[in-house]
Amino acid sequence: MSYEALIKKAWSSGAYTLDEAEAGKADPAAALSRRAVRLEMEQIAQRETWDVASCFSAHKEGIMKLAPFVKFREEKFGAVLFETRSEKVYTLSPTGAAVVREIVAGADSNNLVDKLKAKFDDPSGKMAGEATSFLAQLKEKGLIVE
Amino acid sequence: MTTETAAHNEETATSDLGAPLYVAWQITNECNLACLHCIEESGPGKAFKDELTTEEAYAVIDQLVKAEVPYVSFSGGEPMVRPDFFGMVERITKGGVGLKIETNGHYLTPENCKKLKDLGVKAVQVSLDGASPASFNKMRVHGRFDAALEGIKNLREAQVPIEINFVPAKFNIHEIGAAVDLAHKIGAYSFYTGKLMFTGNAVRTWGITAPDEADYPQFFATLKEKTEEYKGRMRVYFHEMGLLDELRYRLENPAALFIVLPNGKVKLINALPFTCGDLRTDTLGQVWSQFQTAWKSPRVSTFIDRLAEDPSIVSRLHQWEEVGGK
Repeated sequence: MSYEALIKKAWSSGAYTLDEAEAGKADPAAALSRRAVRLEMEQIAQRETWDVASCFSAHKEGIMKLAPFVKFREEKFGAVLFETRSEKVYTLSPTGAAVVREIVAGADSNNLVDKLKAKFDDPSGKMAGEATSFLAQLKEKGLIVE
Repeated sequence: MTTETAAHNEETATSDLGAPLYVAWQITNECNLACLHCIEESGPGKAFKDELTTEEAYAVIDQLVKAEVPYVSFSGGEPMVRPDFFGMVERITKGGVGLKIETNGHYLTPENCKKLKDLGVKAVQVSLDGASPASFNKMRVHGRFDAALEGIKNLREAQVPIEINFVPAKFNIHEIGAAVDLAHKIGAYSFYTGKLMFTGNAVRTWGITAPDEADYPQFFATLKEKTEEYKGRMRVYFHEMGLLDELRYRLENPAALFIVLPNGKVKLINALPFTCGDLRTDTLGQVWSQFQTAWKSPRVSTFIDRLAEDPSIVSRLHQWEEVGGK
């Protein structure tokens, strides 16, 4: 199990511990002991999910929010997202900006696209497709939590 | 709203932005240490005579908040020696700006680390130029390796995200692997390094600090190995570009980044002597506009061309020249 997978597991369950089966799969090439893996896992979880309590709260309520290390700013062309951990900038189109604006407003992951469809004309369904795809990208990159 | 453009992520053109994305603010030139390589020539008693007052610094912060600058770093000198340091931290973080502190780690007491955590500081970058007291203490005159490590331990206990910065020198470049390992062991999530720059104090100490150019290939090879080794656990960032390559790249692609000096003047980039405004008297919007113009000034490109022929001109970085502003 990769560290990324371990982190995801921790985010979902809130448990920073490994059972025997998981420990057996944990990076055998590095020959780390179960104890060492667990310790490192705890350290990573502590570091990377330092605002984990609020993330879990968001999860329980079924809403999304920007990750604690992400900043959003509207621009003439759309918006930018600034990821403070890697200091990486993401330029957003107007569609991307509309998606993030809804997230900031506390949108539910199940109805965000419907909300956008209600607000904007989208006869071809193009905007809805882009918004769905963009939402998946945001999740994949860890820029939002739910 | 248009739906013509796909939601995407890419590099942002600086000129399209309404304000900088990152402000690197040297809040004082005073420092408790006198490091051999300090780009700012900071040290005890080296505060500028005209540094921003608390009131002026707060006014700058209010502008940064209003412009929604997403990320700001406080550096120095040693930023934590400013008596109003925590007041500045509180004002900027409460305004919603992400804040990073760049420090030598000697003031990171448990109490201070808790305050930084409580105030929502996003990261603290500690300079750790070496994996041993011998190399660290040699580079950081008046510095103590154990004090920096203790500060980092306090950060970790307070759960403040930690970054480590390493500057290579003749006497520590071979420790790079051990330094990355140490950074991970003490709980850092990022490690930064690059080549030693011929500027600031390094101009005077070049003979004893500058690594042999022949040592750099192994230095970067080790960093590449460590990048892979720590993938998913700690990010290892390093710049292989030398100063001239970096400046030529920035001439074509200016970063959306201001360098604010302790007296409020704004530099285009650390490695150039040019300023483009003064936040003591100009608005952030004015300086941002002047910043765009200044990068296109022939004086900037000419300086970079001259640098290719005469690297020693970079030693005059602190003789500021106004370009694109007042």
